[in-house]
Amino acid sequence: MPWWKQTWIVARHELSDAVRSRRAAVMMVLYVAGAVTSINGFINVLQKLELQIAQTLGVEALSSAGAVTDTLWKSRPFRNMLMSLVGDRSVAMDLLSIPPIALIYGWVAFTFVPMLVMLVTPARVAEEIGSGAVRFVVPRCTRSAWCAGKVAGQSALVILALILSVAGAWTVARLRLPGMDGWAVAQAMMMLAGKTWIYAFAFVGLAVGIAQFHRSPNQATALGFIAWMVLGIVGIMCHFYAGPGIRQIWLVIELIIPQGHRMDLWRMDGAYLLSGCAFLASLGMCYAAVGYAYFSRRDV
Amino acid sequence: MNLALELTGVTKSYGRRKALDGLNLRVPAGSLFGLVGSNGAGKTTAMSVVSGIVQPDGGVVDLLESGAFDPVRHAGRVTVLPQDALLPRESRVREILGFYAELQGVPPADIGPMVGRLLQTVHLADRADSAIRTLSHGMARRVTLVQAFLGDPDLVLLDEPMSGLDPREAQNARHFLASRRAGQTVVISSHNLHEIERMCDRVAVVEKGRTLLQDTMDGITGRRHVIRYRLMPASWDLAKLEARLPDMILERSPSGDALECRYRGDLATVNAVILGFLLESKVGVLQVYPGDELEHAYLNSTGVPVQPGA
Repeated sequence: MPWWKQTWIVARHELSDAVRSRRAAVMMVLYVAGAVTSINGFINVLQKLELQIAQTLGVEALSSAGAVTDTLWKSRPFRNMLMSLVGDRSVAMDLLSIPPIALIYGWVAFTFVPMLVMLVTPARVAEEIGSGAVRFVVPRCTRSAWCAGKVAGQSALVILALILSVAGAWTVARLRLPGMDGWAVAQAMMMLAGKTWIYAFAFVGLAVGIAQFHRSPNQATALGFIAWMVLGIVGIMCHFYAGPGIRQIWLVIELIIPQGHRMDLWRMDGAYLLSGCAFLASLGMCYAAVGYAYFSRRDV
Repeated sequence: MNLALELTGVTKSYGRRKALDGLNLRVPAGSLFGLVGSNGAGKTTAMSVVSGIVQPDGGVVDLLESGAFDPVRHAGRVTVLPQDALLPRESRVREILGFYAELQGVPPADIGPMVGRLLQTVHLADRADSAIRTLSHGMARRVTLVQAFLGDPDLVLLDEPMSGLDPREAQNARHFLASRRAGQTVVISSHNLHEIERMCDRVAVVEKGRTLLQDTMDGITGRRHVIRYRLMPASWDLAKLEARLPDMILERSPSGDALECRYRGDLATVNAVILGFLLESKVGVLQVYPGDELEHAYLNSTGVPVQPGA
């Protein structure tokens, strides 16, 4: 049987099995709930803000939120402020082309997707090694196909979580903001969910890579979580310490961590987007391959 | 003789402990082969090395005359029932078996009927759609037994297949395994020597990672030159019986409730003489069986003295 077919079978089974596991189900529900709550909270803030403005101006408040924000979003002073905040005119212009509600969704999705991955993936993989379930599979397929199948299956699980979160966030936005351009927001949310998935792929690779060193689900989860936090800190250090001379080392380090490519995904420029996607996909595969290098020779 | 499995000088260490120390095994194709030994003798490691679960440090493993285990070359031809491995808890029985069958290359159209048939064999057809976590230990063990026979592999490795099975299911499993004789090569590792003796036609004794004995069951238990009797305790004269069978070696247990005869020639004739004498001497005969029990042969091979009647 060809390698890709083995990988496909393992990935399909991994997805169907993972969605039934309590841990994955709870984490997915939390992720979707987080997206929905954030959108709902954002709309509440908007409504309060608009009410405040209406009271200050002495005009009648609108029953639905968003109109003032839309006007604000398109105003020149706000754009100038955003440019100075982001520090990059092109990124700011890219952000302004996204409906604000979708932008909030994107921020939440990007921020919490590594947590979703690290709380689900390492445990799933390590548990299969620790319980010995992998011993039923190893005589039937190559270890590399098993590893690739786990990465693919877990990535598919993230897609499912993202689709559900988009559906939840969009529905809440639609209900709370009747004047919203539903199609434009849906498109923007789906696009951001796609980018989030690419970003998450690097973490799935990292999680699968880490899990292959362990037998204990809890230990693998803890180490995955620690790895995520360390990478986050390193990302911040890269941002602040990168510079000329020896400090260029931080630019190199930035290349090998997912956080270093996060901003590329927010841009609309195809070249940045493509390079960000390529780097993140490669990082995911490399992280998983490091774990595989050990797993391929280990006794299971 | 076609060999389904040949291990030559296989070594494996876990840290300083040698689990396999030059293990040699020759398993003829189509045999029901028993692997016996004490705890930590290396049986499980041997099974794991053969199935690619564990990497050997040295030696040569040859499966189905096509080299060491390779998941591509041997996929679907070699399966294993590992000793302590658990199936994924959330999977359904039919689903997980279907997954394994598909992975080893069973055509999709054959998977459903094959799984159904095998589940029926182990009396689990009604639990096909149950999640593994809802099964009892014994039921889950039967599912793991079934997975080893998916796709009719050429070589099946079973590590303690009866552990956790109730007596009824253990008997059913024994019949099932016996029915695979000749069609497949089945290697069974077990502590239960009576079980191995009843099922297997060849056996190897492994101790401290080495092979102590390896032969046919008849050869190891001496079924062709030893006959044993279990008797009602009584006092009778062994010298008189020895006089009737001058060329044989006779041994009686101290309590007089067991007799062992190492004979040459025709078993029926020797048996007739001994039974005739015992009946004349009014000694009640409880049981007659040819050969040593495997347990005795095993204990002898490991250097533990065995008393007649023990």
